Amino acid sequence: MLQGTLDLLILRTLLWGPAHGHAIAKTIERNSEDVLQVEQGSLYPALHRLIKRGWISSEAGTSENNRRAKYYRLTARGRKQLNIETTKWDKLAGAIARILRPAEQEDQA
Amino acid sequence: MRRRKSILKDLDQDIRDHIERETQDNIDRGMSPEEARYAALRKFGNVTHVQEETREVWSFVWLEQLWQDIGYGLRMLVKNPGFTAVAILTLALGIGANSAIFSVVNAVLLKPLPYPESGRLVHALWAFQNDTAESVTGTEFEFWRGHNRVFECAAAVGLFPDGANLRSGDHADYVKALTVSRDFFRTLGVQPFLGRGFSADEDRPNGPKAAILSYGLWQRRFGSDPAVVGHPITLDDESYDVIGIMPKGFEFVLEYAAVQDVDVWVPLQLVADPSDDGHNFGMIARLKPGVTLDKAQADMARLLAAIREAVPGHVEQNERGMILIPYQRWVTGDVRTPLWILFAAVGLVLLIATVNVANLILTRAIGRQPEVTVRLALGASSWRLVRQLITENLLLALLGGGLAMLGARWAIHALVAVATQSLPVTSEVHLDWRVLAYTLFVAVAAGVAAGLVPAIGAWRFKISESIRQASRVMTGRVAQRRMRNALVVGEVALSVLLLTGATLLILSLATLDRVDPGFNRHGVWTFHVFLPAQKFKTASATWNFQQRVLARLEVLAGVESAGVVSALPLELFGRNGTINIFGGDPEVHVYVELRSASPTYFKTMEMRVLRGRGFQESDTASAPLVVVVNEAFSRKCCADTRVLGRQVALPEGWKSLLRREIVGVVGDTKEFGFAAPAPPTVFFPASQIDDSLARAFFSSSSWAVRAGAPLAVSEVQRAVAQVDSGEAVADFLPMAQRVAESMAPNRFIASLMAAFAGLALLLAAIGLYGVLSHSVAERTHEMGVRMALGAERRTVLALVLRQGLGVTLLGTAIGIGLALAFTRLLRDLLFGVAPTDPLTFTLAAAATVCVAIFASYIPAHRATKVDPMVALRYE
Repeated sequence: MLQGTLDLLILRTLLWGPAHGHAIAKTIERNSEDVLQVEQGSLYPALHRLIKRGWISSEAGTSENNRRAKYYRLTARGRKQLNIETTKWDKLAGAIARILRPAEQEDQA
Repeated sequence: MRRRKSILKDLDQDIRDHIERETQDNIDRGMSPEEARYAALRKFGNVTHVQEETREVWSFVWLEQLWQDIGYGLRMLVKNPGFTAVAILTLALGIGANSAIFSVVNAVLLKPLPYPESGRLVHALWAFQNDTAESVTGTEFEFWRGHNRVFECAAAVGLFPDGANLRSGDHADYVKALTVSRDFFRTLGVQPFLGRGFSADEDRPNGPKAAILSYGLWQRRFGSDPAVVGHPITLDDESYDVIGIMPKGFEFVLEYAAVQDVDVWVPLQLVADPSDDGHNFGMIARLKPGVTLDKAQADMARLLAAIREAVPGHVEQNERGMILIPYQRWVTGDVRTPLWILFAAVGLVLLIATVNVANLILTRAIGRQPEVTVRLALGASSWRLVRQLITENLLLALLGGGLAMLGARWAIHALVAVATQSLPVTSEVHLDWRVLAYTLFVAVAAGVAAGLVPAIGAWRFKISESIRQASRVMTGRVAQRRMRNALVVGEVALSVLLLTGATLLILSLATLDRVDPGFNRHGVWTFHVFLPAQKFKTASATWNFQQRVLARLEVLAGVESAGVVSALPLELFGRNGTINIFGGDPEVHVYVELRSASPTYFKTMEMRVLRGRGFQESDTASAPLVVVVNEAFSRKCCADTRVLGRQVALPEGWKSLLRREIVGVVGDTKEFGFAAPAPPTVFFPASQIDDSLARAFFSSSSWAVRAGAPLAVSEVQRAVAQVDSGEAVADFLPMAQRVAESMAPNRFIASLMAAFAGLALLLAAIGLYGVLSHSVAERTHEMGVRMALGAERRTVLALVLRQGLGVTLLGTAIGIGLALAFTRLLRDLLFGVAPTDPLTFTLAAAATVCVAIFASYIPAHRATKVDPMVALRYE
């Protein structure tokens, strides 16, 4: 996975609301229709990186089956960052696409 | 930090939860519980790794690893106390010696002089046709001060040590006074902290008498009372108004004139008489801002032309005029080379110490091979391992540096005690931030260097190879042995170099000490008595006082004879000037040293009368006027003609122009130091000088007393006080000590070089011993086999000795090469010995080889004690 992509995916996932670590991993896998297989462990350094930057926060909570769990929540700064990152990503993806498929571009034009 | 802790606290729980949920999901999908858990773990990845990586997000990893390394390093050092002690001591010696010498270099050469913008201060020399004087005439000073375009201000300093009797009640104290022109303090940029500097009026001939006190005298004699300013003090029975107190620590260095520790400054009140060509004034100046030395020097050339026109006849055609040199350079001129050489020498000692420690580490690295192998196999990166090793060595070096600083405090103390006689120390030598920074730098450099060599060596061979423990990695060992031998060769070479240098300097000192100075320094005690102008206005008063004191001295127990002279040999404040010699064709005038002496002086100093006679009691003021000259005078002025019976006279400018007959020639005395040639000298009898000459010669009188038994200063003081209770004895010293002090710089550098060379040789011997010991231990098995097969002990002994000797001889050869290249740098410090003196080189090489054989013999002897049975069972 591209450097920084995981951070973007976590932020996007948390846009739906607070979630615990396992739920985040599952959501990323499910929403990508299992194309993106996160090595689930790598989630944790990424989560902590985001906390350190102040884009998400963590809080104790109780899960569906009444178990204690740690929930991660998008902060206001994180929301702003998500916008920036998404725009950047779109530009990058577009650029790569144009390089890989120059013919299609011409067709469209 | 707290946030980090609270967040990380839940990490383990978080991860456990995560895996449990994943396991549950897997069970829900129909896996067996065990299968489900494995799948979850597999999917999660390396738990420990994730934990570390997450922690790294929050921490300065390298800092934590550094702590780990330091902790580990300390444990390793504690576990090998022998190694640690030797390594730290070796480094401490090397670093400490460096810090001590650096502190002197720092104080003398690096720190600016303690005057504001001291870079603009210059000192004036006067260049004659072939030589230069460190002083100028009064006329030259006034002309230069008045007509230059480059000085902000300039000042003249009287070169003759003016003592003064500071009187309070019926007790007199001898204080050191210095006469300075009015801009002296302004030129240096330091003003009195109480009161004011001299005014133009006070510097005018016969102006009001004013004095400025040193902080020390103010404290000592006046109890730091500010009210002293504005009040009169009595100097030599005359009243001076105290107008200022100089700040604490103010010091002015004019080394040849012995004006350190001045107590009182009084105005010079210079009368510039164009007919007086005596170079009797030191001159300093402060350049205008932005004026370079070159530009200033160009102005000096202009002034030389100008003075020839303005004051005809004062400057002769062949004189080259004034040369300006930066004041700091001038003050430190004599010690620059010796200090840099000592600094280089001590650097070499540190290099040897570092090499020794590198060797120790290299030897130990072999013992640590298994440890390193295991750590590499467990996944440590080799960079991490190198870092660990360097950390360990840095620890060693810093501990060594710390120990060195403790030692350096003491060493600097000892050094300063020796150095004050030989160095112009304007700012105090002590441990300041520069010395500390330098020590830290040296320690770190030594630590890295000592660690790097073995580290590179250790990483040459591959892990896979070292894992094959059984083969014991012979290739690595051969490479290491070679490296260790090379290091010892280097050590030996450097110590031969240092030893050669030290031997040259010691031989020079010995040669210097054996020089015949023309007088017998032993059994003679010397001192000064200041003779103030107010009390000793006339020559007869002066001579009367001197005669009476001499008579009192001669009856003291054990005293054989006593004499008085205007300046003793090695006292650099004797008068000089031109003298005319008549009776030849053409008539000549030459620049000579001028002295006045009592008839007993030659006998007291045991100077030889070569021709004619010395002074006699019959040479009274009314008898025909006579002088005695020395051998150098006779050689220079009357080489082809007779000396005795010719007449001499002082030139215009002196009040005394009477002709005097040369009645004797005495042997040369080393007036300017044992290494300098004796100057042509003319002696006037103290009984036959007029009032003006008495003032010129005897403002300070030097006394010599020859006695069979040690003389006490109290006896001498009593004898002087019996004649005049207002007169004080100063600078009471055996003549032998004055001689020793004149050689103090030579002794200083020779003894330090000897110490460093000894240290280097010791370190090299330890290095050689270590390498051979290790090699013997390594080859125990081989030795056992050899001896089992019938090799004699002698053969085994020779085997080890040959290895040691091989290394030593190679090192010695390289060292001799280095010495041939570098001892040239010592040329200026040598006396009577050539820089490539074959005897010295042989001695240094022989001494090194002897020490090396001794160092080799111990391990060699140990090798012969190998029990073949034990050795064969070993492995």
